[in-house]
Amino acid sequence: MENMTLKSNKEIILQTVEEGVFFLNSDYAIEGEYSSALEFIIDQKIVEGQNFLDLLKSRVPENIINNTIEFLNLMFRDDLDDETVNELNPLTTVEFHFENRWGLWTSSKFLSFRFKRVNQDGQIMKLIGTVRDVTKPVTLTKKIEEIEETTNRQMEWLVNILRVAPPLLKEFVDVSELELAQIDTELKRFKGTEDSKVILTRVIKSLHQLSNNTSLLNLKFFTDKLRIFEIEMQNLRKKENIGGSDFVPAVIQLGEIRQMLKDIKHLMQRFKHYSHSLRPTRRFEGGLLLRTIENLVENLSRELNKQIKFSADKFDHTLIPYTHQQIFREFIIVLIRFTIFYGIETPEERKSNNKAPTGTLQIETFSDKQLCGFRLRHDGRLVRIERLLQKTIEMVGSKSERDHPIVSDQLGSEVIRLLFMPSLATPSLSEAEYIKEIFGEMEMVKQKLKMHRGKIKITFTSENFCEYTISLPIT
Amino acid sequence: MMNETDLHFFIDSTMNYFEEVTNEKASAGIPYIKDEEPVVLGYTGIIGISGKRKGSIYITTNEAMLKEIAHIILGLDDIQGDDIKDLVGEIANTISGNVRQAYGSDFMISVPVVVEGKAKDIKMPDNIQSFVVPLTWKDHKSFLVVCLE
Repeated sequence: MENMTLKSNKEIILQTVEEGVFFLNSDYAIEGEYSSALEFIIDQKIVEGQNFLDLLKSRVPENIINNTIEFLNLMFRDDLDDETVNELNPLTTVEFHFENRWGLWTSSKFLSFRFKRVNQDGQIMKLIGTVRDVTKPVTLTKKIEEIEETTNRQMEWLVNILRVAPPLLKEFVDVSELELAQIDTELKRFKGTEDSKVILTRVIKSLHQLSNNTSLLNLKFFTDKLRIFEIEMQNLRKKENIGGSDFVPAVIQLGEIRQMLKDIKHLMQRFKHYSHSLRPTRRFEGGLLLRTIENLVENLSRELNKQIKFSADKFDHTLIPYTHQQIFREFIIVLIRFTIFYGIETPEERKSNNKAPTGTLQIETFSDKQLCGFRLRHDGRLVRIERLLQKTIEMVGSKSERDHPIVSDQLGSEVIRLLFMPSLATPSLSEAEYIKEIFGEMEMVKQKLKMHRGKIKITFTSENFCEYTISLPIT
Repeated sequence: MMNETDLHFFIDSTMNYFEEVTNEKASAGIPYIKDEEPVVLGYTGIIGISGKRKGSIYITTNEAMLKEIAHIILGLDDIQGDDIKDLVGEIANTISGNVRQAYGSDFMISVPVVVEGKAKDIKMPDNIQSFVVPLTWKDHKSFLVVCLE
């Protein structure tokens, strides 16, 4: 009777206990009586006499299985202290991996196994093992560690991001994703070594466009990453024989950049005020163009120590069809960068030329039934144009293009040609690199204009004003 | 996240396979990040990786290439059905063997799974970036897809 009660109590315990409880004999076989929770915790059916090590196979890495064998061997040695041996338990917290029918990992559980000796007559008869599912606390700890790591990294980003108007940031993310998609498309086109330089050139252009966009928004962390990447790509372009494997660093970095963009999007979502204002209308998106330009002028003048009065009173973005706004945006950015870098002088230079220390830069839009476009006018020096102009003035004895339309037309084409000739860069090395970049962009503008059947016209006088007019057909 | 060394390692392992087994070098194209576009040819050998790092790799190729490799290895002119499947599994297995050697026993490598026929796509873990490496051996195209946490 007493024995029956004992048996019954043992069964009740094994059926109700929340831990997996089992007994291991010296062959590491699981004995017949074990708690009901065991199969649930380890997510496996146990067959009679199942070897404990077999349960671990395909669930934990080989090194843990090997360590477990050693540990269990020691547990059955009665000359060794139980507690000391237990310190070697490799299953204190172990990740159990679960796979789908293709053998691909799908999920994990973190389990904690403990073992105690069962002694009889001073002999170790078996081990009693317990297992608990510690997935929740372990994943929580991992998550906290991850969050700490990401938070530290993203703090700098956040400082940068919070300074940018949310719609501008959203626009930046959208445009960046497009550029990255463009880079991916280029990479997929690779056919052989001959192609690689062409592809690299296109990738570099896209990267350049991306880093221009990020510098417009002062997203330093992103600009730095892109600049390093761009330099690496430029170095790669210099290599004689380029194979697919040479692009591995590039592709990995692209992956990292994608991840950064994803993180930025995630950060944006975490702020309610962003999500609230991230639904701009097309009209509002048009307004972003002007704000982008204003940011560009402000940042670039500060960077180059120039004083510029920017005027956009006659800039009406609604005159530019929505479909043309991206291309106009590119043209305007390139021309403004060119103008501020080349045309508008520093206050000291202007003073020595009897000019007001602050330069002026004006932009206006226009449209009719067939065309739309913009004019950009500045009062800076006319650099190479100036020399050319001087030469022409001497030839025709006139000071104004209006007096000699034919000559000025020729002059205009010559100026355009000069503007798009990269070989004219001269100054210091870093500046030369920068100028090369700008000329590269100007070349791109020229090609895009041609593609869109657009036109560029440059009007100027010797009185220190230069006006670019860019127009595109509306349909 | 996967780094340059990882990706180089997988590419080199695959290149070595072709060179050692066929005495003919394969060439790797420019790798790219996998998007929604499926990367699946007629025969695909998939290996799951778990343990310290998780993910999977697969090589996908066509029947003509496998037949040509079989001809070189086995001297057979025309192999069919299961033999072709075994061969793509063998390629995947060799790559997995190299992975095991390089990454040590902290990693778990699954038995290769072979998918025959142009499946819609091979499902890879959503939260991990997959890199596609186009391969050319002789005139045959194949792809190595690597996805590692």
